[in-house]
Amino acid sequence: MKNTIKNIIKPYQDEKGSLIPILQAVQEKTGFISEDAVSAIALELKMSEHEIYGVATFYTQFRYTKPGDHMVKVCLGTACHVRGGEQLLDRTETILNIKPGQTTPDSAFSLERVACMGCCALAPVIVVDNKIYPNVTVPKVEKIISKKE
Amino acid sequence: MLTIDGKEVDFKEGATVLEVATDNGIYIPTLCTHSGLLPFGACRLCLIKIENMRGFPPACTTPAAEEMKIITNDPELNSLRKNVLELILSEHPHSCIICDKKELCSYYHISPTKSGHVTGCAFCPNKDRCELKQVAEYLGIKEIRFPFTYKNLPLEREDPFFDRDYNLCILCGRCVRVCQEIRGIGAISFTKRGHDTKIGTAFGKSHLDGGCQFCGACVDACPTGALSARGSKWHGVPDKETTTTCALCSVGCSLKLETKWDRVMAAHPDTEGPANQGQACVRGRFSIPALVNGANRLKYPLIRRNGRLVPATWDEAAELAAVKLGKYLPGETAFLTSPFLTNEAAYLLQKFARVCLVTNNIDTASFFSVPVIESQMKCSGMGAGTGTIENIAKSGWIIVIGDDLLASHPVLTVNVNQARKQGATVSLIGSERDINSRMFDTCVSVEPSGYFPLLSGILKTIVEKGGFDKNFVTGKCDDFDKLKSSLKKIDIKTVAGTCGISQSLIKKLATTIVSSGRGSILYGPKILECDDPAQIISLLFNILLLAGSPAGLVPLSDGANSQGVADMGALPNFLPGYQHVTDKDSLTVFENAWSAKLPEKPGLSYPEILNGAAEGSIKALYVTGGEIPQETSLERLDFLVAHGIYPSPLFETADIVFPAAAFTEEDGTITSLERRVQPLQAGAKPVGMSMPDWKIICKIAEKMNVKGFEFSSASEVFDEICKVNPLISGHGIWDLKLKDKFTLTPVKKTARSKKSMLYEKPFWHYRGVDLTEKVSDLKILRKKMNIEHRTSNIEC
Repeated sequence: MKNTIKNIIKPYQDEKGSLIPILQAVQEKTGFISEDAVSAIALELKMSEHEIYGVATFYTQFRYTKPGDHMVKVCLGTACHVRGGEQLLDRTETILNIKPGQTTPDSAFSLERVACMGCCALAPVIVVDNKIYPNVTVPKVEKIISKKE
Repeated sequence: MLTIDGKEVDFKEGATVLEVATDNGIYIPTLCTHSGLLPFGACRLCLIKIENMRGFPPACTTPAAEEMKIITNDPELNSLRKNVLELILSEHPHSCIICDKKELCSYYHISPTKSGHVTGCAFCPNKDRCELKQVAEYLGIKEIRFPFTYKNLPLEREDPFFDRDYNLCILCGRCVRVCQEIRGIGAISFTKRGHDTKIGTAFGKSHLDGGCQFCGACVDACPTGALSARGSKWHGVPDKETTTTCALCSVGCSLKLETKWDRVMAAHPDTEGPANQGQACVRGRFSIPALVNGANRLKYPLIRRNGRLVPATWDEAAELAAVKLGKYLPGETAFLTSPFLTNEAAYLLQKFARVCLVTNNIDTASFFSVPVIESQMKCSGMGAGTGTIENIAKSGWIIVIGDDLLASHPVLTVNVNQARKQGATVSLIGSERDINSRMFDTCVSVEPSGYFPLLSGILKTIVEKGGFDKNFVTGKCDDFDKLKSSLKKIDIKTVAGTCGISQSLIKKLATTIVSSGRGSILYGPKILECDDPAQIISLLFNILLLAGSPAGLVPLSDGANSQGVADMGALPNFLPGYQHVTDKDSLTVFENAWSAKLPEKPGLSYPEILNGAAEGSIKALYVTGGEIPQETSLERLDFLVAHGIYPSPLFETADIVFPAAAFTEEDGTITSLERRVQPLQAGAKPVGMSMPDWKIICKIAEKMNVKGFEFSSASEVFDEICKVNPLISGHGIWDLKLKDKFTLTPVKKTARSKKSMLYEKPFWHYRGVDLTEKVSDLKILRKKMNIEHRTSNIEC
């Protein structure tokens, strides 16, 4: 991990205020921000790991658990919410037996709730691995997910 | 000039409106401002009105400007502030703040004991010093109009020393900022955002795992009861507060002792303290009550009868000591001073040795021993370092060598951190453990045996590369050529090889020193493990002279009063004020002052005394602390007197044991590593029949019918010290009177001439008492920090 982080940090060396791009690069490379990554960044930047964690957790873009093979995003933006997004999320949680932000124990699925995918006309939507499923109903959720298993 | 509430006032450039108001006696409520911290603007309580400025700017983050017209209080501002505070209180349990039975409740008062009377609803340990409550009372809040949300977070109690209840937290950020800005640790941070914001650690680690040093700065900064010291949280308001000086290390922090029921229950740093400025460390902040209130403190004098130590009266014990000590020839008795004694006790002990027993066999069981003192005398003219704590913070470069600063003198890291924030480069020459520390810019991992080659390598690089302070060296230093020629033989490549480091690292250190202006070098007891500690000190002073900063040498002495004990002449070859015993003139001065004939020959040093005791040439030994290597054999001693605050292994052979008062129970003075003489003030009465050390010595002298020991208080002793010791004239830093001309010492590799002996003592101790034995939480921290013992190398 130390070497990976060193390589990622190299272009940003001696540049103040580059923590967020570094964190983004780490997430890009390893999929999430791990404890090891934070301590390695802390060591390189001579910052406190708690400060780094504080900065990272301020932003919703960073995750701290290893993502599953498939990313399930349930939209709860205004349009999707009005058209029953909440029930879709409930159903997905039950099927996968995890809460948003978590990954199934077999690391097959990660679940996330998102605020808007920008396709409100198709509401409510579920996005699996960047593929948008439009006009989802509660019974459809199981089909969408079982297709990926 | 600006106008504040219709009053025209002057202000300092760069001051904030809040500072200007406070300076002029105008109160603006605030919860997130804290002395020493940068403005933050989190609580929004200090909102004010400024003419021609839009909205309500916060006073704490608005810089004062010329011609400003400020209104700090009117009905509109008051209602705004009330609103803000009500919002804060909607997430903070507030029944104690707005309860209509509050007055009655304060009459009945909370009680930490399970007593029969009404105790009020005490769910917050900070109830009697709540800043939130003070502000609410100022604003006259009677009800909260918003629904109350309890965060329902679990109480965090798994870490040592303090508890955390973030249900009481108002997110003012003082703890986060004090840890980051002042201490430079950053063990906590704001995590998440919005409603979920909580003070926490990375990935919810424990503080212990997260690198917290448990200095307690966050606890002191917290305006609510969210952070509270576990040992003292339910004690309520103390009966009295006493300002004293911490005697657990040599930094000399001012502490406020809180006394309740005639016992010291808590200690917290004094914001006015000249050395610590409101900071403390885990020992001063959390360990004192447990250390001084232990159940097995010695309470009465003990004398050996039929092979067993049995309790005795003071008269009996002192009489016995007087009779026995009087029997021996001058060369057969010896005294060992603890570096934790007060100046008064150390002064009287050496006076007792020299006047009553006519011997110079007195030395201090400390890092501050004769070779170190003599070497410092060569450098500065006195047996002391040249630097001050204030100077450390102003340095352009700092080198820490031979000590684990974060564990041994944690409060100094505050000054090191301050210097670093202003651009200083901080280097460490020390152990592997600190390599990853964020405190240091450069770390060199070298064993003490490598200090000599490394330092001479650095010196050579500086001399050859030039760039050093030429004006200072040519104008104020002698023997530059001698130094230069003595460095000829040193080869950087060999040095790098011996130390196991790269040549570029040596160059880097040298460049930092010559290019960053004035510097400081902090050196610790590990240099004693080198072949020639004296040589190391002169090497360090050479480096400082080349950088033009003679006032930068700071000894990290291990005992709290190592400096003072040496100043007082508790040394085999020096009288008070570093006047050599062989110097006829000064001897006469003291003979006249003390009206006695004094011994002329230097006495035995610490290792020599221990050796003499083992071999039988020393027959009677007087020990005032527990700092005796366990390996020393004391069986051949005829007579052993010991002072102690707790039972120690020494008592197996001791013939008389005198119970001494702890530093929280006595008046007096101690001298810190920066030569600052500071007062001790008793926060409680001595436990049982114990007495301050100086009184014990007076008592024995009285029984011996010797004049000159009739003192009724410690201040009378101090007055005599001021009379006979030219260095000490009162409280404050004593003047070194640095010479105009310094001498650079040529580098010469010397082998240790005498056999040396390594011995271990507890890393954190007070008069030989291992602090971790008395304070169980400290043991957990010691284990985590991976510090076991301090090894000392003494020549014998």
